[in-house]
Amino acid sequence: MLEPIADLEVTAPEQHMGDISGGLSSKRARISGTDSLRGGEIVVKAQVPLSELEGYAAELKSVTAGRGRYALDFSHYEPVPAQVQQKLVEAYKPHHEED
Amino acid sequence: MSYSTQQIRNVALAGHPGAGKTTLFEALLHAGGAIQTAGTVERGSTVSDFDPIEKERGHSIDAAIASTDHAGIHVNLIDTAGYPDFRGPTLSALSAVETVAVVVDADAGIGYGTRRMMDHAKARKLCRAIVVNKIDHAGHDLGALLESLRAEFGPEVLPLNLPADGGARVVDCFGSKDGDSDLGAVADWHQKIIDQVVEINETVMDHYLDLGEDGLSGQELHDAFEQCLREGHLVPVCFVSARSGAGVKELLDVAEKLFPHPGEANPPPFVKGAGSAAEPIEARPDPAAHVIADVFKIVNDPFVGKLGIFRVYQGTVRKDSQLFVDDGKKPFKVAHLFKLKGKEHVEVAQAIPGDIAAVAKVDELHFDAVLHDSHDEDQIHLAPMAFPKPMFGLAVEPASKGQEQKLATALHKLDEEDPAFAVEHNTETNETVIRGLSDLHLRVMLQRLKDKYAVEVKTHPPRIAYRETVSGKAEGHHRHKKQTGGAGQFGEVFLRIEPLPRGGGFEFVDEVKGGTIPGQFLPAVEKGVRQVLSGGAVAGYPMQDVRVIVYDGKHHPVDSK
Repeated sequence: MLEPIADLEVTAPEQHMGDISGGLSSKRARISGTDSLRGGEIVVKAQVPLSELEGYAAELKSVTAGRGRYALDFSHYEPVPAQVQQKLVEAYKPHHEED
Repeated sequence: MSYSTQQIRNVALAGHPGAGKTTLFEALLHAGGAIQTAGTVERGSTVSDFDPIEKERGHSIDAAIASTDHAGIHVNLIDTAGYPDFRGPTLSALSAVETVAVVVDADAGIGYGTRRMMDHAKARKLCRAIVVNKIDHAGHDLGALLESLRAEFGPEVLPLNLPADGGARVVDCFGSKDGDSDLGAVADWHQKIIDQVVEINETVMDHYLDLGEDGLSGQELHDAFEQCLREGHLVPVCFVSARSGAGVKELLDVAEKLFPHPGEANPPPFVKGAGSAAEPIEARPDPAAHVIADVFKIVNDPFVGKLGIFRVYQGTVRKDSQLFVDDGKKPFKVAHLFKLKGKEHVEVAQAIPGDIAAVAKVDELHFDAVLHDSHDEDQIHLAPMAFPKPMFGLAVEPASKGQEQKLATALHKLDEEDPAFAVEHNTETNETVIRGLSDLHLRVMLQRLKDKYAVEVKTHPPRIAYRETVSGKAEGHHRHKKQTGGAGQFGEVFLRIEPLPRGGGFEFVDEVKGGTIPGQFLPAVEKGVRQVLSGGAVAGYPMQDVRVIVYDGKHHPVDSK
């Protein structure tokens, strides 16, 4: 099975860098780079499975005291890890048997 | 009062939540005489927050507009929401004004809303002013706040007036150099701001150095001041207490004397054409020229209908004017022209360059539409604003069956009002997904849906559009046979299935040799294959990145068809 992967760009004051990258790594994200902006802000770029980003707006808001923002864009499809596939197949079964 | 373009001041109040923008808006309208008594946010009686949800929540959601006259000027005020969740209507309102007054709470200091609005106004080349509110509260250090504002936004942040008597009143430090204030001698601050202003160009600087301050004519100083505002060389600070009224009238005086009129600010960023062929166009605030106006706000009222609020940049819009919308061929007639006062509409005969007015019940209007009265002005639009992309998604469906159409219509109306709200239909998961800036944003939108349009919905997180694919090659065949009465049916196909590289989509390859499947049946075979792939194999998601090769089969000359 394949899942949609999004290109994510998070912009926030640099003191929140640790919290942001920590949060992302718990979401199967691959961080591809970090840039500094003028005015003490950083941009973290990463590729993250779309399914992991549910509720990310609220999470980012709480770790950056409302100052972080993010943008995401569909990038490509990638195979899902085995345990995620297992869940999806199980979720499908009951529904499938009704048909 | 009838007024000319030079007498108009368009000012938006922006800033961090809770800074007191709505209260200041109310105080300014009261001081200018537009309203008899000032309402309060607590009692839900303000002109600006008339929406039931705003009253209930105690903060602004939508931008509200009202005007007041003061000492020979006509001030159009826009109150905006501080919460970043409602940035859509806030940012769109900024395109309609010359001056953004960023309101700062003297108790709380600089917040992210302060920075955000300062940045947006600067990026848009708008004149910026800072209004420090709540100066009458005891126990804060306004001197320290002023220093932190200057540290954050630059040394060009300088006061035009100063708090005095513990914040009970303010004293002018631009027009006057006498007296004392809570922040030290007026003369010191007077010197600082005059030095900053005369720096702006050499002519003024030379006059000042040769003749001293008294050698500058009032007009010369005024023009230098406007140039400072245009170029961001000066960000004036005013002190007020919206609650006690201290400094409120003085703020209107500042607007009258020093804030730019529509001809004095940076010209609006109009362009003609699209993409790289777009060329900047000048809109002159000339009442006799062709009309150019820009719709910066849409309000859908279930009773009044659609209201398009626009800012006139050039020419005069009159009752009964014929106006084109964007590149439309057919004009609409301005049946009624309104000025707004919160939720009230006051009919007017004309709107001159620089003014803000509204028309009702014109369905073609949309956010950022350009209104004009000649095809010479086709293809003109304002340079687009950088709106935050709505990222937070929620799938919605009507709570009761049969309301699908009603829901779609209502969502479309909400979509029109807020540039940071989007409605999309995901055909793959068959869901209607609404997108906004945050959970709060969408919750407010859903409450509007319920209160205004009487549609209740069920929500859930949007489904993820997973896909399936194959990892190795495989072969298979199927024989379809029906010979039990009636016309017989027969067909057999042999298929090979192979993975394609990621992003390869779907390929159907015909490698049938020797006509074992006649050509006319192949489209039917492909259709069947596609149908099965769209339903997936293991979890019901569409399959992609596969090549299906049909390489052999059997047919029957009579029964295959």
